[in-house]
Amino acid sequence: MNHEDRILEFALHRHFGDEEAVDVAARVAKAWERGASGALDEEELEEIRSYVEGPRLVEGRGRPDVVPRAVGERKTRRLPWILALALAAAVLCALGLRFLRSPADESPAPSHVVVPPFLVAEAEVLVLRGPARRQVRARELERGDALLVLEKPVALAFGAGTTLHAQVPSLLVVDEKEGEPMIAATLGDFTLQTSGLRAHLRTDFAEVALSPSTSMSIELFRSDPAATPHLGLDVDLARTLLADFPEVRTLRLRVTSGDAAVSTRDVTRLLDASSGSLSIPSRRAPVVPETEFARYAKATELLFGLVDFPRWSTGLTPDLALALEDLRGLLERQPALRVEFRERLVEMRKSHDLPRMLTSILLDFLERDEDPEALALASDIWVEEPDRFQIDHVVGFAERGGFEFVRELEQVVDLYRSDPSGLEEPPVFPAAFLALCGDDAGRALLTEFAALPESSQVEPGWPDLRHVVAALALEGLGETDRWDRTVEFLATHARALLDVPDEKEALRVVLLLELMTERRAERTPPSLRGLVSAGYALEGMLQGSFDPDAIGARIDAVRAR
Amino acid sequence: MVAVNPLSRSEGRAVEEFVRRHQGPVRGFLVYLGCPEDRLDDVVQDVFLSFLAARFEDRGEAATRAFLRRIARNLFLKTMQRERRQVQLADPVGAEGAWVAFEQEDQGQGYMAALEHCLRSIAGRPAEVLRLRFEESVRLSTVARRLGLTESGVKSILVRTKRRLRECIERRLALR
Repeated sequence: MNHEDRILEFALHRHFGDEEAVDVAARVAKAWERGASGALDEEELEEIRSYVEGPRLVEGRGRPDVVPRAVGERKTRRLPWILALALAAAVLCALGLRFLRSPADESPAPSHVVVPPFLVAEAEVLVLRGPARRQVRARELERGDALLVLEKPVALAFGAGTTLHAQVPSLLVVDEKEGEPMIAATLGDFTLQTSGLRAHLRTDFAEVALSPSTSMSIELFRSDPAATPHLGLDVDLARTLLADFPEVRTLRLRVTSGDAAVSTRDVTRLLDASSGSLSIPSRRAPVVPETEFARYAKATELLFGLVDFPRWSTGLTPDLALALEDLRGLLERQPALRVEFRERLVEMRKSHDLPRMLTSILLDFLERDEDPEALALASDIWVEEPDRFQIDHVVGFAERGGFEFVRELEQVVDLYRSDPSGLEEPPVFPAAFLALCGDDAGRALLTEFAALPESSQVEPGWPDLRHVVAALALEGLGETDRWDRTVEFLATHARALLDVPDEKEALRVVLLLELMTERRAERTPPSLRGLVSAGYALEGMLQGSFDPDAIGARIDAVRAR
Repeated sequence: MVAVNPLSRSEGRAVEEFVRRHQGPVRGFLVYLGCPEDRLDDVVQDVFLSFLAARFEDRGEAATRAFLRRIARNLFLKTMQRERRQVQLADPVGAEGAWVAFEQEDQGQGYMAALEHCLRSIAGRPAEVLRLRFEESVRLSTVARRLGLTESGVKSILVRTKRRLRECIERRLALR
């Protein structure tokens, strides 16, 4: 159960329960007078005190009672005294030995220093060296050399004791990071083994830090032969060479001994021998122009920033609304970005309890994503958090064949048929979906929902989205005259509203008709996906002043279609 | 505001006054965390005794509430661990954040008022399910039997009704 649900449950218990007000004030005062002091020891209290009084309080930024999420539970316990004593003794012995050593024990200062080569290959290898990238064959490699392994496997030993075995074909640049070996890999199949120092492996989408005494197998390969070259690596040579090399898309790692940390843009994961093989897909889309990728990155940053959005707020900032619109377009155009977006979503769900508003937006995106993986991901979310789905999400995923969603729609219709008061509103969308799939019960309900009033006197707010959706779905089932009658009735109704005059309501009716007419023109039978969201968007258009003549013209246009 | 700390052991009246002011939220927070009813009063008492023993510097209501919550959480976890009871709370820090959002400045009264308002829109079978579940604390299977539904049907009504309530509450609170 998530925290919001827990709060609601608590509030419901409080509302329905006859909570007895127990007053412990007198007994606390008495116990305090008698010298009682509670069950927390001084160390625990000090820790809490420092947490509440300390600098973390500032992190609340005007909300001093907000608990910063980063503050975790206490993980360490007090060192057992015997261990502390042993440690102190060891430190004293070490210091004593250091100061008791005779000056005669000191070695004489060397007259010169031998600098070992940075990296030595077991045999000569093909290297591109220097700013001009001149091609040389060498056994001793220098920092910044690019190594092409094209003929036979090669074994290399760094001065620090780290060894690298590279298979054919491999392309890598050898360098140093803070005195530790670093390999910028572009393509290949390697085994990297560290000794006394750490070592680093870098690709354009992931960085791996190997602990001392660690052995790791690394494969960096393409997963899509048709993809265009990726030019993300900030090494000049790689930029040139990659034009001829296949696209690199996946980094596969396996630690055989020791441990390592692998970091992508979003997460850092620790690996050891028990982790098995880990595949990391290239995160940046190979065919996406840099400008679009930058826009994508900015929009997703804003979107996922909603993780910390106030739970009870429902509004979107104008910046975020614009970013979401842009993101929608980018994801529609760029399949690679959709892949990236889904991966990001999976990671975010693993690491955060996503607020409902954010999940709902993410489901909107998944619903538009035609890839079967998007449906699979939605199914996963459905299993864990069915209450995050709006009805249009369920309909959208059901239309794409998600059996759980179809079953849900069937249940909703069954529930309504057995007890109409069991639902907040008539299940027009579920009924329409089932009817379009050939379900007679669904069709019967639709007929009920699409019924037109017998006179022109209608309730305020009539019709709403459901009436026109029902009529549209029935038209998709062959009842063509029903749609015509509905349009005619609503157009007349809108005219009457203009005469009242109630331009806003007239415009609302026209917008509903326009929306359905557009949907009708797209395909037969019509798709129900996204209609609820479109309905909400339509409400947002009813702002400002209204021009009766323009509305009248729109009524005529709808009639003429 | 009463300067609550440090309070000497002879200042019984000031201690009582302080406890009365804060015991409601502390008790509520412990119930929310899942503190068993039979241990509730003892843990509440322990929270205040620990607070007094801590000689916490008074920095205002918000900091005092945060300090009390923190003590309550630790004592709750400690009690559950000592009695080998299972804690149904995967993320105590996140849970505390949600509680703070619930409690706001008015000890949760705004949320409760919103809930009351939203409950008025629930009628028929969903209302009956809520009443049985939260007023009579009846098991799902019993609710199902009494209403002539399947257990999954009851579960489905509960999920939907709670979702509807949450959305309604969010809207109400956003309007404040």
